Amino acid sequence: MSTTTFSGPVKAGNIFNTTGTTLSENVSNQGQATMVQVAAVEEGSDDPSWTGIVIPAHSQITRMAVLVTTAFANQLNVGRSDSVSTDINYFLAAAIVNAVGLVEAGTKVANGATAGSSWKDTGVLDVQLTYNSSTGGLDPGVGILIVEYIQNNNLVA
Amino acid sequence: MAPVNPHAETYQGKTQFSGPVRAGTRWDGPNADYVGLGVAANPIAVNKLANAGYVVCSQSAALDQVFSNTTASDIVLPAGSMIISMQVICTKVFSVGTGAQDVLRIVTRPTESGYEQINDDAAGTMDMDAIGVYNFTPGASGTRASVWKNVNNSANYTAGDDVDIRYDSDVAGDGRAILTISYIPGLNL
Repeated sequence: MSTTTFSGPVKAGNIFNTTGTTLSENVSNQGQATMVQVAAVEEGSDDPSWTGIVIPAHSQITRMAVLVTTAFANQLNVGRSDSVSTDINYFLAAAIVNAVGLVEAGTKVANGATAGSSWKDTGVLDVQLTYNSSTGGLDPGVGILIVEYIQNNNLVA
Repeated sequence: MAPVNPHAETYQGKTQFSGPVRAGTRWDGPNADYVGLGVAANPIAVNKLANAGYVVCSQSAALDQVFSNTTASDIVLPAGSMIISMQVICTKVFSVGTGAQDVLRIVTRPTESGYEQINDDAAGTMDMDAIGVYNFTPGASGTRASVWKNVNNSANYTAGDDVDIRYDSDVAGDGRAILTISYIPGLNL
């Protein structure tokens, strides 16, 4: 399957700019496409390990989930590593992934202590996501990390 | 009756691609070479890596309450797609028949061994007993999780074939719902 790639962000709506106050006529109604990247995470990998997911600077994380295909023996952290710092639980802390299925962050999964700000704006630089479990080594857990985000949303609130 | 887009006249044109549509400021990089490698022993500058993600695709279909898992929805997923979420908006409560439940099953097309249900089949997880929004999951099934990971991971399914989504209930009735499946097309995990 071929791929169509843009620098983005991708926006859609039939009124591009606000030039007045009349809805459906001259008030912009464009929305931004939600982006997604996924990566395999294996409990037996070194701690922490790279995911291969790189989120563009100033993006807003809107969803994280783990599709667990083989249950983990330990909890899962999702962090970051970039030229600023390395944090093993910057986005998710102690995710409970000990059963097969879809685990949503924010319901069964605790976010990191800084998740409120890290999800709102990923920062001034691109960030590569990392992951680790509490012990690493020989444990069997396997899953797919799903990260949905709005590219370069640059929220300030 | 087929669902009608109330903005059909407004949106006379559409921008369509074969997709997948990706966006990011760096399109190519050795990301795959680093997946699963330890951070400490394998340093890499983030600006050497691609940061393009996939645009989330979704398809929606209006469903009625039928007792036949050969009932096709309007949803057809491209081969190799990954399902990332499945939402049902129940707009009319499903009827309960004698000895039957008000369930909504989402299945792939018939296979040699029957039908492949892709939403959780645990009791209570697929009941359409109240109007509202339901988030379906694969439940605690490795088989269903595998199908979410790649829709062609279904029994007797041929790799490279598109996958059509079907549905049924335990009994025919008055229930109505909107199914929305979000997915990444052609990811082929």
